[in-house]
This record gives sequence, C-alpha cells and structure tokens, in this order.
Amino acid sequence: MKQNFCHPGRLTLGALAVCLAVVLALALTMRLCWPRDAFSLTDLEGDTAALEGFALGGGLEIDTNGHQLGVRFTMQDGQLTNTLTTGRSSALQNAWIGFSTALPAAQREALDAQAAEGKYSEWNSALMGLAQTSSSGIQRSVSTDQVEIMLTVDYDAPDGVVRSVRFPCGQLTLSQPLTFAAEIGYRDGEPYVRQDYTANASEQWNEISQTWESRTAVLADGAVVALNNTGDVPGTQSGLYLVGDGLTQSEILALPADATVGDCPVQSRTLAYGTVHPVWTMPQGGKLVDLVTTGDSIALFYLDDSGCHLLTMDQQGGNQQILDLTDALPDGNFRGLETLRPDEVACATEEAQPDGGRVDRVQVFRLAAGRITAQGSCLPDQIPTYDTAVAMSEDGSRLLTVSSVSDLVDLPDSSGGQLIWKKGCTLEVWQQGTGTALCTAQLKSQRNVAKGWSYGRWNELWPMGRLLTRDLSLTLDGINTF
Amino acid sequence: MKSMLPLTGWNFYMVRRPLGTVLAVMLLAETALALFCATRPALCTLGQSALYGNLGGPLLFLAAYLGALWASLRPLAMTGGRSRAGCTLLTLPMPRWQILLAQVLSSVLSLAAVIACQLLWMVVIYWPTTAIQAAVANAHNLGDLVEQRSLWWELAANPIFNLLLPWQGGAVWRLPLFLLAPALIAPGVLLQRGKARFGAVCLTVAGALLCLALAAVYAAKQGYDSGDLWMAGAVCLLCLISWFWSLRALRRAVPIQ
Repeated sequence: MKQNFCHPGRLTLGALAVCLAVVLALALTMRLCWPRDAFSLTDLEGDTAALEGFALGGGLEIDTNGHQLGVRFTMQDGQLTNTLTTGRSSALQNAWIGFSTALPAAQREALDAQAAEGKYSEWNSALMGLAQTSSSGIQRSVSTDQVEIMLTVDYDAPDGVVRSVRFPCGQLTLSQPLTFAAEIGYRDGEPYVRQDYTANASEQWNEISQTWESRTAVLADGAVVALNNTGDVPGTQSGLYLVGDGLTQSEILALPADATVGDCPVQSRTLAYGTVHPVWTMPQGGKLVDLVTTGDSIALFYLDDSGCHLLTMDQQGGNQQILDLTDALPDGNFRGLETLRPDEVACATEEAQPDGGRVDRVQVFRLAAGRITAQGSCLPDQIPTYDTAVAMSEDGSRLLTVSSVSDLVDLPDSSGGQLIWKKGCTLEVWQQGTGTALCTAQLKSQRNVAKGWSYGRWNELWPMGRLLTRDLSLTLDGINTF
Repeated sequence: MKSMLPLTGWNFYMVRRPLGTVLAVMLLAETALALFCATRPALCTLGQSALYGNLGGPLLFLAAYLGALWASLRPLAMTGGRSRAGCTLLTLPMPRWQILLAQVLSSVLSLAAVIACQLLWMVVIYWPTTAIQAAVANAHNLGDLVEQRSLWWELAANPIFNLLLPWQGGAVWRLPLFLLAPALIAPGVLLQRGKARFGAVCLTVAGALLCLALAAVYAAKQGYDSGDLWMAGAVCLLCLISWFWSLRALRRAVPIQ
C-alpha cells in the first residue's frame, strides 16, 4: 500500500523527529567526542623522575570574553591529564599606569585670568532635522611651559571593577610651551560641557615620557607603582609607592568641582583621588627592570651603580630586604621572568665566563611575607624569552623552565607577512646551579594556535590576522604573556 | 487538545514549500560563500568557524530565520488576511487559545528546522572546505597551518554553532527562548488590526532587537553575565504581553458569515 509521506501529521512528526535527532546527536557528539589527546607529553629524554614535584596547567581555549571553553591540561609529577572545560575562566588581575599633563594648581588662577577666550554658537539637528537645539559655549586657551604631571593608576579590584588612583608626580619645565584649551558649553542656558584645560601634548610627549620610568603590579586590594624619576623632576622621588582606595569611573564623575574655568566650576585635571604611600626610595641613577607581586609579597628587580639587585617586601611595605645578584653583569641581559608558582619570582641575568664569553643564568626566588625563603638558579641552553616561565622544586634542588615552541610561517605571497604559530611548549628540568638538564620533554598541543603575525602589508593581512587571533589561544595558568 | 495537534500539522503542511525554498536558498548561498572563500589563498588557513562567522554566514542564517518565521505565519495570512484576524480559523470548533497555540507550535517547528539544517550544514561543509583549503595551502607552502584541524575543534570554536546548540550546558534556556519568542511575538502583526497593528509591529521589532542582542552577547562571550540577563527577562515579558494581546484579538474577532 502506498504511503503518503506528505500527510500533514506524518510530515510534522517527521520534521519534529529530525530536528530533535539532529540537535541531540550533535550535542551528544560534542560532549562525548572531545579530543582526549589534545595535549600529549612526547620526546621524553633523561630521568623522568626529575619532573616529580612540578605542577603546571593550561589549555587550548576558545578566545572569549571571560568564559572558558576548550580542552585543559594539567601536569602533575610528569603525569598529563586532559579535561574538557566549560564555564567561567578566572581572569588575571592587572594594573595599568598612565601619565597626563595639567596646568599647575598654584598658577592656575593666574593662567586662567590671562587665557584667550572665544565664543561659539551652533544649531544641532536630530531626528533627520525634525528636532533642533541651539547650543553655545566658550573656549579658553592658554600656553605655558610649566606643566603639572599627573599619574593615573588603574587596577582590577577584587570585586572585578576597575578602580583608579590619581596623584601628582611633579612639575616639568618644557623646552616649548604647551597649549591648554578648556571648553564650557551651554544648552538652554545650562552648562552641559565642562571640559577643564587639556593639552594635546603629542609633540612634547617624548620629552614628558622620557622623564619617568615606571612599572606597576596589582596587589590584593590596590596596586604598587615603581617610579624612576630619570629627569630629576622636582616633586617626585624615585621609589616604590603603594596605591589604594581607588575610585570607579562613576565615583570620579561624582567628585565635586575644585576649580573654575572663567566663572564655571569644573573638575580640574590636577584633582587627586585615592591614596598613595611611599614605601621605599630608589638610589639615584638606578634603572627599573621588573616589578612583580606574589600572594603576600612585592619584588622589584632593579639596577644601580653597584650592580643588579632584588628588593623584596611584604604587601604593606614591611620586611624590606635587598639582595645583590652577584656575578650579574649590569650591562647584560637582565629581565624578569614569569613563574609557574604564585609565591615565586624569577629573573634572567647575564654573567661573564672565564673564557671571556657570557652566559645566561635563570634565578628563582621563593617569597613569604616579603622574605626570601629559598632560591635557586640554572644555566639554560637557550636565552630565556618573554614567554619563558620557570618554577623551582620544593627543596630547591631542581628548576623547571617552560618555553613555548613557535614556528614563523610565511603567509601567502599576496600578504607578504609572517605568522607566529605556537605548537606547544618545551619542558626542561635543570639541576640547581648548573647547566645540566636532568630531563626534557615536549608538551604538544593537537591544534596549533596563531598568536600574532609580523607586519607585512597590513591592509592585505587584516582578514587573516583578525580571524586567526580570535580563534583559539594557548594558555599557561597564571601567565599573561604565554 | 484533540484538534490542536492536527491543526499544528496542517499549519506546518501549508508552509512546507516556502520553508523548503528558504532552506534551499540559505544552504546554497552559504555553501557557495564557504567554497569560494576556501579557495582564496589569503583565507586558506582560516578555520571553518572563522570562514562562516566572519564572511556573512550569520547574516545569511538570520535572513533565513526571519524568512522561515514569515513563511510560518502563512496560515494566519491566508486565513486572516488584512481585514479580519483568522476569519476561517475562527470557524474551527476549538477554543481560540488552541488556535493560537497551534500557530505558535508550527512556527517553532519551522524555526527549529532552520536551526537543524544550519547545524547539519556546519558538519557537512567541514570536509569539502578543509580539502580545498588544504590543497590551496599546500600550493602556497602553508600546509603546516591546516594540519590536524579536527571537526570537533572546528565546531567548538564556532560561536554560532555554540549559540545554536547548547551542548556545553550553560544557559540552555537560550535555544527555547530563540524558538519561542519569535513564534509568540510575531503573530500579533497579522492578528491585530488598525492602530493596534502598528503597536504589534513595534513589539515585534523590540523583541527581535533584544533577541539579536542576546545572540550577539552569547557569540562574543560564549556565555552571559548577570548584567545581560535583563534582556532575557524583557523578551519573556514581551512574549507574555504578545500572547495575551493576540489572544484578545482572536477572541474579539468575528468569523465572516
């Protein structure tokens, strides 16, 4: 008997069954068939027992804003485990620093009084010309070679909100006067734009930025800033400052006006907020290298005339200790390194060899409440790069270095650029104090990840660069740069 | 309820041809786009998710989704028309809410068919695009860049696939919401008359924009923050308003004698 498959009931039930089957089958396939061998430990050489005591984690994650999806690996004592991950990823906390220029508070009234003033009025159309509003305003401008430099520190607070602290860090006399312009706009007689004197300092920016060297790192509730006043600007001492009690953007906007432009009260660019405590003064002629915070400590690597040093302290500025990094050449490679353990800091230094050559040394320091409780070093074959991370075994007898494995690939001829293609990482365990590798291994990811591209003709590269970098990322726990 | 399911079936039966046309156009256009892009040297290293997500795939899907929704309203349009809501439907011996529910269910099924076809297409297109891309990449000495590209990763990295198929568990409500919200809100455009029709259009546009915003947020974050959920609440509210408003229009409507 001939079946009529176009019968409404059969057609509807068939369509429903097919839709449900497709959705369920695909969902089950995705849950059950995830790549369990996404990461593998290969090319093991040497004594694999040397990997005992080390732990690291990371994964191939789909680049998203705060949510984690992908395959995660954990390696404990040389045993590798892959797991499927979904859900929210824990974002690293960061702190950022920025300099800005402002009219010096002490001379502000005098400068405002002599400012040139211009007026304007305009009609604004909205809704395709159906609604029109009139507005008017004044613009005042003044030039001066004396500028106040303000430092703004933004940091991720524990509540997930970005908070800001702003404070003055000295007055600078510029070689060329800088023009500041302010604007007060009125609509229906009420001020609706209150722009304090602001400078477009792009031409003088080199002069300003070369005056300070800075580093910043986030604390449990606040941030720490290392400032080096290389231009000997009066008003700021080089050293470490703890900043805290930062305000959110809405709290900053709600602060009262503290100055006037003409007759109109405005919030000035020299308005300071948050708290700043100097905790350490840096010697003259020093140079900042790296500032790192651990769970309860602060560490600063710096140079001065007497050589390379590590300053450590607790997060309140107490228990200060300065360690001279012996044999480290001040003119050599000296930089901070990422660490796999949250209570360790590390650096790379360069040392002279008896034969006149130079060798790179990796040094790791374990900190507790600002004190160095253990330290170790090794002499790796390869020069540590920005994406080298290190860890020290519990007893300090071995050091693990993890470096990403990258390929540089030429892009198609039409683009003329090159792509950095990350394929996993190399693990090496070193005997403390020596250049002897106890064990090496490759941690390979099943899927390679493009981390960036070198610049060719950028306009032709944009689709590739944009699309490749938003695809996947290869991450190592707690490390930003990997 | 006895009459409602057959009516759902009949509604879906009536839209089978326009729905089939919409699906065929969507699949052909997406296939042409994906195959063309796979042959371009500058795009030969991209994963399928990037090919689909950034070169017009979501727009084609959205157009097909709206087309299927409009097609699924065909029974209302055919039987109601411009002047009187559901005049022929009103003669059916069943409560008015069941007439509306049958329409909603047939719309949901039409939209589900679009989603299922899209998901299947994402799986099926993997093999031809990967093969073409590998050939083009090898011709340009870029073979390393396309090695070891598995279907699972292609699908898992595709934000639109993750949006349409809640396989990870989180926010599984979004699929029912994206199916039910258009099916509940859109019939008002054909059921209301006079000035009320303008209101229904506004309600539909608002619902569509909120659903689009929810989809865009999910595609960008692969999840929702608590601050995003007000949009889902607003869509649910619009659905409730639309349901009762459309039902009121149906109950007040008088069949043509």
